[in-house]
Amino acid sequence: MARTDMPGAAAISTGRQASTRPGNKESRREDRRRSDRRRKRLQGHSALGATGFILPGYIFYGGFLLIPLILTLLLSFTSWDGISYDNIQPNGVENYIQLTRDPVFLQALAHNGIFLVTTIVLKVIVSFGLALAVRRAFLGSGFFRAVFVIPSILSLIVVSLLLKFFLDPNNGLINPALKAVGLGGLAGPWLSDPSRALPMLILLDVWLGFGLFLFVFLAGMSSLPAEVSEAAKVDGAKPWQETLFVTIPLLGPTFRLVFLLAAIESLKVFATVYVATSGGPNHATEVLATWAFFQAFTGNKVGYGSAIMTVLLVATLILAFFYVRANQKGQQR
Amino acid sequence: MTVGNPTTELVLEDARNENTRGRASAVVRRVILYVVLGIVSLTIILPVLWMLSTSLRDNGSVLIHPFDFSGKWGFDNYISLFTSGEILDWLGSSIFVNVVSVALIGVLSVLGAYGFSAYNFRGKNVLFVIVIVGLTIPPQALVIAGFRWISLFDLQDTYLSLIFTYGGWTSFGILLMRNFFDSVPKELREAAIMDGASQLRIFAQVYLPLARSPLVTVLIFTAVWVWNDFIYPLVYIQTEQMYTLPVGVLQFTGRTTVELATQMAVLTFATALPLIMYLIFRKQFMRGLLEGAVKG
Repeated sequence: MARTDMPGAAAISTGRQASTRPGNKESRREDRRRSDRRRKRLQGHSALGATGFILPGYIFYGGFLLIPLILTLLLSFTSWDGISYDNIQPNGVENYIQLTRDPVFLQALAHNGIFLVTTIVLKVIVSFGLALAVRRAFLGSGFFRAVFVIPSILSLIVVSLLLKFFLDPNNGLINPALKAVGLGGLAGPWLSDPSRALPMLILLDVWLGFGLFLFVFLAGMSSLPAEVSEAAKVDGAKPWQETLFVTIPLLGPTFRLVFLLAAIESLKVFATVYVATSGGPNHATEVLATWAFFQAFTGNKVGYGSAIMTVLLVATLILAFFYVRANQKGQQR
Repeated sequence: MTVGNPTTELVLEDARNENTRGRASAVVRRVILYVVLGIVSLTIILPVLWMLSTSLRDNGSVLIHPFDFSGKWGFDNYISLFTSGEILDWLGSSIFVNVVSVALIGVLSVLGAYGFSAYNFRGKNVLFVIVIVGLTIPPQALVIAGFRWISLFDLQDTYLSLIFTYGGWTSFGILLMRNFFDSVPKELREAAIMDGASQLRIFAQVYLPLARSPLVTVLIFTAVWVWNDFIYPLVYIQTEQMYTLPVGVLQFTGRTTVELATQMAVLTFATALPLIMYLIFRKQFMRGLLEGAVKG
């Protein structure tokens, strides 16, 4: 897109290259000095100018993202009912000690872990498999690509409510449908069954997110050199061999990016659980965010809720570290 | 030169054999491809279609025969929704908050991205990294402290609390647009400086017009995120008429007296706008996905 939008820029760049051709060593050094000076002038060095551009965004980012983030960390070292500011009592690491003795917290932590691993694996398999299927244009490929993105633009609330309706044991659609095709033995209460509720929410999360990762893979595949695939064909590689021994190894960076993004996304799970099961039945689908939310807003334990959220944030920041690093590597490329 | 010929001959021979033998299996492969893609597509299309069709039927027959579509069809559910009025309030809230927030995010992102791309100053990388980290933070992790924070300024239960909060969602825009600005050849700026243009003019008259396409991508994506955000309006807004659609929908469907077809009408209504927008802008949306992904 950058290329097609800027024919003028391309013209300017070729013209300039022609005029500054270095002759001998001496003039080349002189040239470098001159271009250094020019770069200094081109790249604004005044912190003041940069401030004018960056500060407005940073005011909102700092004021409504960074400060709440820091406040969450600070509140996690207090006990507070959330009603009167006079009641904020510092209590050191008391909340964190309590966490280690809170069975629901430990359960929620384990569920986040299960969510992390299973959604990553399933999303990678589904999105990579489907990306392979639609990577080349064929009749209907555009339609399939367009359809696969739809879940990611739907409201999580709508989708979670639909899941609830479909799986409802009394008026739902899944149980009668299963009975109709002779699989009545599988019918059950689904979301109120402790062993089935979490898998259902995991599947919902995969369904919601695979479309975007499919496009990450497509983008990665489109940047692979075509010669490699041709060479593989000339060497007599079958499609599955090409995928396994050529495409997958070459897509290493893309896979790493998808793993990372899927991990970050999995820690964001909240709305689907909150709407479909509220963490139940009997905490079988409780995750850190829902438990913290319950503690802070229903249980009026703002300090304790903040400590749970802090655990979530620390996990996020660890992943953010790798994400930033991957990003900077990508920029150097 | 001639030595290579026999081997290429062999390979071609091989490929030809493969072709005649493989024609049947190619057809089988194609059928399997369509079946798999079709099944996955149906898991997306069927629920949406079911929601839409149920919303057009009458409440009585829906419960008795969920799969018998012969009953009475019509817009009665929608008409009763609109006459009760609250859903239009929620739609109004959502549209207002969305338009203002997305415009704000667009302006802040494009300015910030240009600042990071065009200037060099001490601490720039740290500031940029801090912005990128924002992409990874789960919004719900900030809502407990965030609610107390906005209450300090008496912003609870105002649209402003939401708009300001979404104004902080600039990480994606700054990342994407900075990458774009970085990709613009330096010579362009050079030519503008030779012409004696100021930094502000270079930004407004050279870079901004070029950035239309990535800016649209940023606006589309942030619009979807803001439209579907649920946690902030749930916590920050208490007045029922001021709810945004997702919170209103949840509140509405939670009432025990509401019947299935009416609920589906509400869900369809809440889905309609983003879905229609997506169907209109899907080319741009998918292109944005491809571009964002390469750089992400």
